[in-house]
Amino acid sequence: MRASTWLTIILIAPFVASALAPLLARRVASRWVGVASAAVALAAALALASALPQVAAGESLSATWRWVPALGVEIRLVLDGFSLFFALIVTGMGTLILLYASAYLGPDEDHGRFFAYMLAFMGAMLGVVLSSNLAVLYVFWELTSVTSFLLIGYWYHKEGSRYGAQKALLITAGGGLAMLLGFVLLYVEAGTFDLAGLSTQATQIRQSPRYPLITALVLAGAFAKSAQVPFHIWLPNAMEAPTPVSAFLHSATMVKAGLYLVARMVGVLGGTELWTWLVTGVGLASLVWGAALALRQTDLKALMANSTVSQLGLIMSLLGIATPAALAAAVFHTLNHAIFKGSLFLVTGIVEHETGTRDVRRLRGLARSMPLTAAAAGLASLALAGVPPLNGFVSKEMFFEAAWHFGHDRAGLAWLAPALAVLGSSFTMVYALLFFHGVFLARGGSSHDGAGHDPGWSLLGPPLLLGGLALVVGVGPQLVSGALLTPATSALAGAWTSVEAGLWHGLTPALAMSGAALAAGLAGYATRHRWVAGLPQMPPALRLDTWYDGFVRQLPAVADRLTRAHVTGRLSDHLGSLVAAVLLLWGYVILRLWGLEWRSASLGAIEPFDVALTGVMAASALATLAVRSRLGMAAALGGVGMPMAVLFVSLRAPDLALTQLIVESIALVLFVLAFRHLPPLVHRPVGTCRRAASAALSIGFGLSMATLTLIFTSHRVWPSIAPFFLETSLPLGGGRNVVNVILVDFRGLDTLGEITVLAIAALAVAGLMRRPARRHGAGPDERLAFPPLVTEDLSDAAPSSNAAPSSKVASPGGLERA
Amino acid sequence: MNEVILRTTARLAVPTTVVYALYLLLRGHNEPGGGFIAGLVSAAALTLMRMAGMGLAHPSADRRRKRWDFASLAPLGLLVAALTGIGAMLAGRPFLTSAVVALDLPVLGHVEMASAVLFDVGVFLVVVGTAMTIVERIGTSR
Repeated sequence: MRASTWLTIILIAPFVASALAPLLARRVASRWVGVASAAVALAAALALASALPQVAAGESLSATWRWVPALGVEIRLVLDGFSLFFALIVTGMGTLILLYASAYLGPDEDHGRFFAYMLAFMGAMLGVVLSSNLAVLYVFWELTSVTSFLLIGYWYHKEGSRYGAQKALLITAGGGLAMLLGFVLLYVEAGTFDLAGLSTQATQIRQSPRYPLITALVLAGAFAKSAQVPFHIWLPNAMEAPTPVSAFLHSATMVKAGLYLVARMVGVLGGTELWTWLVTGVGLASLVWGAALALRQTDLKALMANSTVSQLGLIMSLLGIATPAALAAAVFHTLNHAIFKGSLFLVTGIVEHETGTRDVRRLRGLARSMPLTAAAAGLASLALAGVPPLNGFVSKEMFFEAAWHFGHDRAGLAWLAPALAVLGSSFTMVYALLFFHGVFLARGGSSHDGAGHDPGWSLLGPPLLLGGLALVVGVGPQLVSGALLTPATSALAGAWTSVEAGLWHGLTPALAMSGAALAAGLAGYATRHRWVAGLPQMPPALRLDTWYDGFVRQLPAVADRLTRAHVTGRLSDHLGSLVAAVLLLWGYVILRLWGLEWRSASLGAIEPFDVALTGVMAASALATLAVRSRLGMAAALGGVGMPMAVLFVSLRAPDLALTQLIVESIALVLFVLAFRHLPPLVHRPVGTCRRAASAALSIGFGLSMATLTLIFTSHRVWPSIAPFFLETSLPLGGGRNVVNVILVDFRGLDTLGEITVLAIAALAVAGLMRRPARRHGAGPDERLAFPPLVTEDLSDAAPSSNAAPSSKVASPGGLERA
Repeated sequence: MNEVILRTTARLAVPTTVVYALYLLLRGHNEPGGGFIAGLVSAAALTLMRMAGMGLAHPSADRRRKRWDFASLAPLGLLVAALTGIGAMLAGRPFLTSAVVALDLPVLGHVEMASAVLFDVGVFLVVVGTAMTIVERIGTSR
């Protein structure tokens, strides 16, 4: 199999599985959907792992599918060291978490829907890390936002879920739009969307006057996605999702998409003062602020969410420093964070499953009742705190070292970096102990002391395995450094960078910083009751949550006021405002074009037949004003539409004529159907002013339309494209009907857009207008769309003799079965 | 309106109209016709069926079966159209590139088909789905 096909299959497989999941749930037992999904993830992980030797040797695999060559958009999948590293995290964590989720979700939950979303997310995330073309990367990026929205809102009956889902979507997609603008500006600057192509022009991009704007826009998207200060507010609310979702999307993978992008951009936008200070500053702020927020939480999941903000900040600050050593630390910590934080979330899920609460103040001494869960929790939380010999310690050492060098080399303000690093890490130690010691080891004083017991293996296996991994990677970092970290770091640094990770580096400033952070953390934990409450809090007026909530509340209110101003419940008002707006625009256009010379020669000849038809149309239009009944009006409108179809025939446009004819017929049916629901027509007297205004508007509209048509048809700025279509319709499009070839081939994308709008309209109608209540037997009171006329005869009278049962007329619609 | 007349007429008219719609759809690439028009003609036929209270489009037809819902036809058509476009990419051409295939079929003889006809089938399905959704929902009391 060619590498490109193989890569494409890996990317498409989760999406296919996602489409099949609900079917599997419905046809087979829903218990197996989760296991099957985990199998898909595992297969993808193994397939990716098979590329490890090649990638570790410095090769990269790629696949290219042409999409919109004219805009530089192509689906280019590239599997280099960094993509592979991320893809393995996504699929590996996915395997464990999907397995866990199949046991976590109760048997009554909708497994099909849940795993369909999870698999679609996994596919989207793989798309993000494999796409080399930024336009395509953006598509997958927003797909992860959408699947995240669906998963946070999985229990959509809960107010909190809906709020959290909306908040996450608004913030991450808003950031995503800014990022798209940044990508477009990059394209304008460099003429390519491809990451490799952008890297080669990095110098030129950094010197362009647009560089600060591009950097700000792209980083806004990344910061929003990775929940960095000041966009971190959505992550705690995202915890309304089922715990496996929090473990997968909101700690191990999706929130790291921002880090992924920033890491990729180091080679394009990095290396400048702006980049260094902005990324490092935001990262360190998130590190300290997230950790300080985590200290104050009483809900385990909220604690974990803020801890995630803090740990992502740590990695972000490393990407700002962007030396090869810092990049290596960032890559390593990304892996370690996925391992220990995933495990912590899964443990939290078990605790909630077993005890029914997530409140830190009520949970005590769980180590006695669930020793294995406690073991997993202990390994993971100590790794988070950076205690040797666990994996978190090793990567945190590298982080301290990078921060120390940053301060040492730049001096001055840069010394804040190591200081904040130690402060944030000591906070981390405090809440890690709060989680492990407080919940599992401390005794007494609570109804939940020693509650619950260890769950079955499908729940316990994944977090234990991850906890074990944290220990194994910590003791033997060389296991991952050669095969994973080195290729990943090299892909970012642009040169082969060998990553040396080890437990013992000798007596270095980093070791002192580690020691200081751990000691301060221990001391802080012992005395936490005295100082945690006194930590500075944001005043409500400055809190972003307050701003966000205000915005979300105000926006509909403003829209409401605007809408009320022109939608008054009278159709004529509504139409009037629309027509007036269009008239203003056209008036401007006409005034601008007025000076153009008129060439009546280019206008077609007018036949008497056409004149007669136009006369009929005008008369029918006037008749709609005179007629007094709805049906009469509909008929008069038909008198406008039908001659129009004939006019199309006379102008030799059979396709148009056919369409017009049928639209006219269906519209008439729709009118008649809708009339059944409308109250009797009342003719209110209309004031003279209103009459005059309406007349002025409609006459103006008609006149401007006619004028514009004349101007446009008599004056050509560019040569007509018609000959091109006529000549190439058969050789290029394979059809002799030029109109249709234009529709489905030359301008196929436009048609695709149009039918998308149509389909959305259909779904909107289906959603807004409820279907008839399905009851047994069509009773006479159930007003069907097309009630058999007999129903009305039977409803209030005995069947008359001519409707005898022996008659051959089958009575429609369930009357016999009623 | 006398129901007997309507039903008898519909019985003749509906199959004819549906066949005509398919004819319009398939010949649309070379003669007047195409997905939009064929979709509308089909919608007209289906509406006539419902007015006469016949067959699959009637809400109180066989209640044991789940009622056929036209709203799902529109996304399906969209999928067909999009997949046609993606098919071109699989052949290494840009999205939505059309290809012409010449086939020698029994009965029909030598037929040249453009892949765009498949795209047109998608358009057809979307139009039928949308038109019928609107007819059904508006025609039903709330």
